[in-house]
Amino acid sequence: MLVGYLVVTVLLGLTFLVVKGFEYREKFERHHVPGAGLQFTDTFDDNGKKIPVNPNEAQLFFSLYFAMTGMHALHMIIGCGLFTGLAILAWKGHYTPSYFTPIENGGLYWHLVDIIWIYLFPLLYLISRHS
Amino acid sequence: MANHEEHTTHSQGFYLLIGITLLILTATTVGAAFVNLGPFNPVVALLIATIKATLVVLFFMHVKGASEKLTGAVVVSGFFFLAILISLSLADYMTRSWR
Repeated sequence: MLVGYLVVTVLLGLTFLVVKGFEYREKFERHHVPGAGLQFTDTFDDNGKKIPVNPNEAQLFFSLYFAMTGMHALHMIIGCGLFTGLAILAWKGHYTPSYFTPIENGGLYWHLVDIIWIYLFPLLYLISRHS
Repeated sequence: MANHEEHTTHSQGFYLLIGITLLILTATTVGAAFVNLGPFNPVVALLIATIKATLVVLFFMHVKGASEKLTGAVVVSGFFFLAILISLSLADYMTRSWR
């Protein structure tokens, strides 16, 4: 059962990374990548008035977007690797009800990455959605 | 290191309940993002995010009911360092001129 839970964690983590891959592809297709080639012509609504986005602000936002989600995705890849290792060791019988410290530590790492995502999600994906 | 690390162990159903609560809060924060609250949109978003993070730290990371007081001290010190990180970053950003 422990092995099952660890494997499910890895699979869900990989699902998240696959979705992240689709998102990044869309960003590249729409040229929402910071640098000389950035094209971001959306406007935002200021009580009915459409205001074009300042291109410098768009550069800053997408730099932050890629830096933060990229760092988070890197930690998720590390986490998936850790849990795969834990699952293999658990399947070999290394962990008992009286010794499961590496499992707990892996869980703490994974929860920390999740807490980072809990803050990244509203701040990067939900800001200004009401406009 | 003590062999048993905590005095309270919760049932699987309890953790599932916390997980469902987190999902409900996620739906709430997405819904709140579509309501125009003016300057309070980021406040509400961060408030809900903080509630979710608190649930994860207290229950999923076993901080509540941990047998060692040191666990709580480590968590508090983490927030202290986060406060330093945020204040120094803001001190840089908010004292820039945009000319």
